[in-house]
Amino acid sequence: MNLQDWINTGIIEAYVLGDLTDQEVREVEAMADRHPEVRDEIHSVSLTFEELARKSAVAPPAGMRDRILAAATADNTDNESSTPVVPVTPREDGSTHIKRRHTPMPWKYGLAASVALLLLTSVLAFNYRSLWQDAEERLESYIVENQQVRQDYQVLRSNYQSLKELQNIYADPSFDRIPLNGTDAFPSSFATVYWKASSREVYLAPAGLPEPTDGKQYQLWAIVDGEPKSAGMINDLKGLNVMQEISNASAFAITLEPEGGSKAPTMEAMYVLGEV
Amino acid sequence: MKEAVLISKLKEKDKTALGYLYDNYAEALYGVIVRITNDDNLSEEVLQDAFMRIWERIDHYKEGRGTLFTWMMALTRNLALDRLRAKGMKLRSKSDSLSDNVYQLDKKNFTETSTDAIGLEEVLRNLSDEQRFVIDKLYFRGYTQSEVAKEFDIPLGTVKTRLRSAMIRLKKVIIP
Repeated sequence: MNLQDWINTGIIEAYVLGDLTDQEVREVEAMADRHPEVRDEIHSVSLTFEELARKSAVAPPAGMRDRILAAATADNTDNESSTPVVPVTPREDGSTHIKRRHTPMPWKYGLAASVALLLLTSVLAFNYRSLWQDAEERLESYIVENQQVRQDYQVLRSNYQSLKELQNIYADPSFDRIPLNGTDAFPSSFATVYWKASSREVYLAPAGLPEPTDGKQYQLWAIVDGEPKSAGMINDLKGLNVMQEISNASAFAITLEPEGGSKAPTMEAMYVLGEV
Repeated sequence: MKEAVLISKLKEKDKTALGYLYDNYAEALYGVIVRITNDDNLSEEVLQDAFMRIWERIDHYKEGRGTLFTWMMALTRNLALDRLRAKGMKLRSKSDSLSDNVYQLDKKNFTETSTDAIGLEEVLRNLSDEQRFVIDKLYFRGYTQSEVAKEFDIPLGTVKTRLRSAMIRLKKVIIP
């Protein structure tokens, strides 16, 4: 990545806004050390955000200033572990001086330790927050990826299973292969029925039928004793369909019917026909 | 006061320097906080904590890495965002658009610090709707780039491109 591309990733804006992880911060600062362009960019992004903040300034409620200055004073005395309650006449008054020296040390250590612990935990909490956010983002994208892979796998698996079934049917000499050819109205259509008369099993590979229009579905018919008998609806236009069991068929045909099928075939919508 | 002088006085724990810091930066920081939290009580709390933290951690400020203000701003934003998360509150969402919220805030509380400077509304008018959207979420609302991408279903690369083009525009308008 060249320098301009790197700048264009918006990493400097995120750096100035404080949105980066510690590692990314180090990356930006290392780049700034090496490239004056990066330093300039950090500076101008900072000025832009600063101006934006000045233009969108809102006055805090009255009294905030005093509260903050007072809090800073309290904070200061805490850190220096002086005791503001005791009237301070330190240097002239020897007794106060001695008393202060005799302040039990464990208390001081305890305070120092707890301040250190507090600082440490806030630093850790901050680090963990960044780590946690990163991890969550990564997890999210893995989940999406995983779902996609699983879907692809399901599709492949079902394709594979139809192929395997088809192979078994091909290899079985007791299956009759009955080509169904396009009728005069639909000459380019075709399909193939595999029928095993002894077990009455019927399979259909409808690969040569056009996508049905909305609300329509293909239906397979067997001509038995001169009468059409439904052999079921065709759900999978690309794969192999297991149809209803049929005996004594003399021919098979496919018509396009309203979804769910019809009791009797619509003769004008007969796409393919094949005799046994 | 020069920034370098201000910083060294702060490091010496000079109380007048803290007062100066407040007088010069509190309004800008408060504007940042209010837009992220949208809650007056929480904003006051965050402002106070932010100043305490700036006061305590001024030694951590690295000169030459952005301005003193942006260092304070980053610290303040993270404080506001942490506090918002701790309270289980969400970032202000899409329903209140920049136009009816940020501007309203201005009309209500906006303190005109320099009357001859062009205002926020005018500056943002230089951006396209898409650029303004990204600046609104990233800068004013406190979203990260990937949060914007995820929540509003915009490819991360697009978020970055719009941010960059918006910044280049803003820079031209803002920095003479």
